[in-house]
Amino acid sequence: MSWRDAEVTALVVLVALGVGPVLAGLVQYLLVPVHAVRNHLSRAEPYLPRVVVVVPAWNEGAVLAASLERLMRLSYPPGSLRVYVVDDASTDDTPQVVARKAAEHPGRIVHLRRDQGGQGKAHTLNHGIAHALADDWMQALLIMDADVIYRPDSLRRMTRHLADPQVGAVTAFIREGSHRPGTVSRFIGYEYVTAQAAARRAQNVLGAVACLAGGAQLHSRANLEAVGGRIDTSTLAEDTFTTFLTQLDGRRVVFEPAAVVLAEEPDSVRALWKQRLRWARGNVQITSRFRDVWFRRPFSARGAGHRLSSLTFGGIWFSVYLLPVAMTLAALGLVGLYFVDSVSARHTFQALWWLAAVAYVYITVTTLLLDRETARRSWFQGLMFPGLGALVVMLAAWFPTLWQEDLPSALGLHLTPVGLEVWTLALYAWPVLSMAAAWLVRGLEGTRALAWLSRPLLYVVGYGPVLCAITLDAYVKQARGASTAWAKTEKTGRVVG
Amino acid sequence: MSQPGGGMNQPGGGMRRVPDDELTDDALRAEIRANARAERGLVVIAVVAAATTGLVVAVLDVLGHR
Repeated sequence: MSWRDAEVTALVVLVALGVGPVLAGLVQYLLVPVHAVRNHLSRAEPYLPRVVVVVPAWNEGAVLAASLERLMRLSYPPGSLRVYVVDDASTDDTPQVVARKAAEHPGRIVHLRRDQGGQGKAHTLNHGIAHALADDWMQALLIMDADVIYRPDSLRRMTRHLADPQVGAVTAFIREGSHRPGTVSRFIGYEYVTAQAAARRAQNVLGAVACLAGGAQLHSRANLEAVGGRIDTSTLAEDTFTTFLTQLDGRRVVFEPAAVVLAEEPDSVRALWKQRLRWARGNVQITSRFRDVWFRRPFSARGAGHRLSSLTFGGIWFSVYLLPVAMTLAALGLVGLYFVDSVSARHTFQALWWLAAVAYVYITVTTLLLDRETARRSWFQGLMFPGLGALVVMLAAWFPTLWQEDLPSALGLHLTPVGLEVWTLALYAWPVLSMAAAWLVRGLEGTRALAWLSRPLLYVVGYGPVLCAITLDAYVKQARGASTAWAKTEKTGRVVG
Repeated sequence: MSQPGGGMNQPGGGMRRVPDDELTDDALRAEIRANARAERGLVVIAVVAAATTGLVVAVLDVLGHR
């Protein structure tokens, strides 16, 4: 093998690394239909345990009354449901709202106030959990967010899985439910169908669930006690931490797609960035904290008692975790290949984006069909999820002459050799360029004069690349040891259900 | 599940009684069966998604003469 051949091979391998996340995404979606026959409903039974709901609240006066009222209207035996609102030393009207609701529902809503707050959600939850565990009344504990609206049948659809003693915890489908969602909220709504309704069904099939949604996690008392009777406070992803502990301890975690709860999500890129940076940094911490779990033998539940070490689950986890790395390497590989062997570069580029296009169509159609309510609200954001730029690149891979020759000549233009080279390199480097442009979207949104540009640019860049850029930011902030102070996502009570 | 006349801020909402027929073992079992049936629709979704993908690829192939 000549030096040039070795160079070409090495660069093609770099590009092939970019295929990993695409394949992992496809594998997850191919597992979704398996959920039709491999789900936990066959082991579910009518079961309505005594449930304590813990609601952490710091300055949630705008949203709390509605979510508490919805809890009181759950289709669940009233005598088997108590709500503990843990007021984390709020400075707004949260105490008054809770007091009013407690008076309306005596004995069913309890106000617990922390005098010194601001330590974060996990500390607040632990205050409520300690009270719930203090006596024997509670058989199961539901952790939720103050803004989340539970549909009447949601809790009873979760508790039925706890009839199986092997199940330690159950989570629900969190649907974005803002009354008049803006662009970012609509993108999030679509994302939640991919990340929950699809991905968590696949994880049910695999027998390993990545995360109990923070706004809807139901634990059996036995599970809660087994994981230490408290929520971990050392990471920014306390819900994922509990999910892992539950499964490592040999109990199952189940996602119940028919239990739907509605949540208000950010409607600006800056608020999204703040929320997701916390999540992404939490995942960096989790990946490191559970480093002994990944890809360990035995890979099956029979030997280890859990499936977190399986090759498939690990592959899916790391395909998300390392997505910015994979995208960067693929772009670098293609650009390098262009200078070494432009013909190989063109063929590799076409193969990579051909696969991306197939995955895009299959995943988009499946996602839109999985949740019709979200599809009605967010179908356009679903189509634009990878960004207009990525769609242009896909077309360039399929029709090599479209942008270079056909379209310019139709407009009476001609691309110069330099222009052609710049255009080709832009196509090859798009995964990195789109991540860089995501920062521009965030920056523009914060300006007074050019904020209007951020929305159209978001559609060009795509929501997926924005999430990638946030993950990259999380790596950097973790590496630099930036502050991990809890940053609350502001909620305004826009949810209707 | 809606309570006739039961507004969000109506005092005494906590006294609402859950209809007995919604929470009987038979009703809950029927709900489990119905949800399991609904999950079988995932196969149809997968078939439609695969067919759509095949169609799009075929059209692009014809247009692109690949």
